[in-house]
Amino acid sequence: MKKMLTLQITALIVISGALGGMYIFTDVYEEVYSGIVSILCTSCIKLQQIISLDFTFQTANGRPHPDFVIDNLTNDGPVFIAYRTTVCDYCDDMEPLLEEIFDLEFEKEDVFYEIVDFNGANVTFVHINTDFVKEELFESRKTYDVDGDNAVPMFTTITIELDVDGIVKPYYNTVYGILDLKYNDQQRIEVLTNIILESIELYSENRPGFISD
Amino acid sequence: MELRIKRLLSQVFFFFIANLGALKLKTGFCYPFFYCHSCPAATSSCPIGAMEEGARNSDWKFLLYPFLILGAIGVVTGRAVCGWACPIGLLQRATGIVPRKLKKKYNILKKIGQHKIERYFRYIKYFDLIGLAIVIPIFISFMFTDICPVGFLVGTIPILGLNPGEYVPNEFFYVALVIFILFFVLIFLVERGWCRYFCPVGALLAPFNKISFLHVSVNKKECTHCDICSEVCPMGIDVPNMNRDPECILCGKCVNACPENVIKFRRI
Repeated sequence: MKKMLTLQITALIVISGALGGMYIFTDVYEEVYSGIVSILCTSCIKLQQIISLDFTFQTANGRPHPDFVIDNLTNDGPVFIAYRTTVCDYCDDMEPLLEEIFDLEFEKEDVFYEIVDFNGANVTFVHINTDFVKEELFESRKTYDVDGDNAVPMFTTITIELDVDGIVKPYYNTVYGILDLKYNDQQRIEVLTNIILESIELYSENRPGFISD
Repeated sequence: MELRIKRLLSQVFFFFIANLGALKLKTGFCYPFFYCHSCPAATSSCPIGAMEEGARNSDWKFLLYPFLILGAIGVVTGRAVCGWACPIGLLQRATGIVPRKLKKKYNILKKIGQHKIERYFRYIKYFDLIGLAIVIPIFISFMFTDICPVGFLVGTIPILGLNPGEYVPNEFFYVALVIFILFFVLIFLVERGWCRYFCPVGALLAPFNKISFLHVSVNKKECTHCDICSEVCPMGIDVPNMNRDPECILCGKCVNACPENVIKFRRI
């Protein structure tokens, strides 16, 4: 009886202590929240989003475009943002294609931006691993998550276009996952390239009328 | 209040707690039971999903975290969460009436349930936990989440219903659909069939029954071996001969059913 009680109390202290230590000394709570709970796991649901190639003005959460996007639209050109999490098979499938499209090399943990020469025009490539970012960069995903499902990978291309009121505003497209299961890698590259080329064309047409707030 | 009513209230309460994500309450905890974080209303992470991510990404934190949460609860209550909190346990409680009736009607089902080979099937859940949720993600890729019937039930179906026309099946959908159908066939044929044979969370909690403070104890000296307790046990345990059985979910059915009052909950 005493042996069992000693064992029970020891096990409780060791396990609770280790759990408490994890909460105090690591970011496990935040990582589980941002990397698992707040992200839609497409593996778990066994589904793939149907992509839309249309651009839109209305942000997904109704909030203004992030400052880093406006800065780049004002000074450089269209912005392409690739959102991912560290553990994400579809992200791993898509990243070599992004490296080919933008002629870049990067790791999945990297959070960075680079202005790339794309067919003679400047495009800002932004790579965001949501496990490693907070605040503006993390929240920007919600701004462009048109399906509202927090799914990754998510690819957002932001350019500018004249709206119905005659004002040039940010105009964006978001696609998800591996785009379409039926596509091969070459077709995926073509789809993303066409979206970027369209954004460049819109940008060059509308740049003279774009005044950031 | 009767024990079965208390247990029902507890299960309903935890069902709502598990789905507080519908009110935008999301946390960084892991559920101490089996529930999928892809459910639109999920508030926490599936412990198996977190372990798989940890295994896939060689991240010890994600591997250890669910184990410690389940361990801390397991040391105190053993597998009581399976019987008192798990939403999938609640589902199987609802479907349990069918296998009980079938068992009375078709003697062969009773014989299969009592066959000596049946107890070996119970080890499948340990394979689910170690093989599918830890080893395969380390060496290949996700496996359990891709085919998990609970993810299909609480993730896939609600998401398809809430977002018509926005999704198409991925490469695992039809395999998962078949497993999902088999899951339902199982729980309509075998009472608590998922918990008995396949639940990896049950596999994680089961060893803690051996040392948990809360447990079910049988006074073997006074037991008359009438076997009424074993008849009512949803986990098919040989209750008179059990000693901190890893399969016991502490539902208390045997405690209620014992005519000699020799089966009791013990706190230490």
